[in-house]
Amino acid sequence: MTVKKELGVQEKIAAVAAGAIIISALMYWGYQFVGMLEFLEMAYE
Amino acid sequence: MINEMLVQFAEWLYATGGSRAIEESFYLYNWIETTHVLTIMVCLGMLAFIDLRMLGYALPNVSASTIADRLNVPMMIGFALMFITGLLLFYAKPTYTNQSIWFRIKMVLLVVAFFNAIRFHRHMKASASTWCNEPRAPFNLRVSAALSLGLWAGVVTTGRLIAYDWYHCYRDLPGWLSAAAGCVAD
Amino acid sequence: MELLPFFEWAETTFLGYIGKTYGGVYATFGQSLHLMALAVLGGSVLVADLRLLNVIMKDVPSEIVIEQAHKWFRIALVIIISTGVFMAAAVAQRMYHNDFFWAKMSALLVGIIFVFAIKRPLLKGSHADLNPIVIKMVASASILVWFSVAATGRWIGFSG
Repeated sequence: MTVKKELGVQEKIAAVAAGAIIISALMYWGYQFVGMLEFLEMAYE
Repeated sequence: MINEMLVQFAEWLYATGGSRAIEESFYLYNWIETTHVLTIMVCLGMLAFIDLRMLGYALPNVSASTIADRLNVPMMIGFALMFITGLLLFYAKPTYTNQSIWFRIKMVLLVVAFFNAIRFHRHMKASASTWCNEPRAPFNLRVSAALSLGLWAGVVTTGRLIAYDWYHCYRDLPGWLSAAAGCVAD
Repeated sequence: MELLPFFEWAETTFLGYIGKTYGGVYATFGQSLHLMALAVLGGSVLVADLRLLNVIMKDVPSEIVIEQAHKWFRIALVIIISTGVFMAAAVAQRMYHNDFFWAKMSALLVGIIFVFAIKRPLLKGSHADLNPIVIKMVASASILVWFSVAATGRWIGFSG
């Protein structure tokens, strides 16, 4: 796989947007799951 | 007779620890159901594209056998997940689901879809090499594909309707519907 | 911008009235049609993105796969949004107060902007000229956002 050294503008924008989405999604679902686990911990105390 | 047996079986399942644990959990039932619905995107999504290819509406310039072969694996993975979560959903609410007329129709549609899939596979294997680069499959395969789309649309619809108790046993139902839904005299 | 009046109004519309009054219509033409469109939407997302991730159909040119998948994505999106509006109109005030509804709407907006303003323009030309890591990031983001829309959507039903 030859990786192009220079990214075009469109590619840079796409990479930033995709990265932001991936991080936001992981954070959102991580937050949801932690919340559920905390709720369960409380409920079963 | 069959209805009595099914009710007994459902009540037996209902009484097991696992069944109670899932239905009464805060999140487990919800996540199982969410997974069941999300696998619609995987399994039925792949199936939709295979059927649409047979009908000539999607990827018409790609060999039909390539489409069927390549999308088959994700479809079966999705189906396995759908099946397992479906079993668990039934297990969590066996008495309600057993007496849901929509559930029973859904099971009939699934069986018909299964036989339609077998028929499709057989015809595909026998004939694919002769027409796979044509945009549309031969007539009998198009029929199978259209039937597949219709049957699974029915499965999704009846599956969604299970949650509605408009025709449940405690309602005033006509005799034939009562029997079809599996209602038994108390 | 105060949105509550809009949601209160939505419930009083004819669309809202139909959905509230006729449960059968709501369940079949609303929810079930929404789910069928979800199948096609999910399929179009996965066919395209799994191809971009080199997981499936590696022997089919990705340009063709993306083009055809996008065609069905658009069709599914129109149906899914129409049925979504129909369903939301019937229970608009409950939606206004539901956190998962807003999460879903945010994800939906992000998804639509991402697909039409970033992904599609990027993938219109030849894919061989594009950086493979960027392509894979775009495909992963697409899968994540659309499955998030679906999951938050299902959770609306479990809350409030």
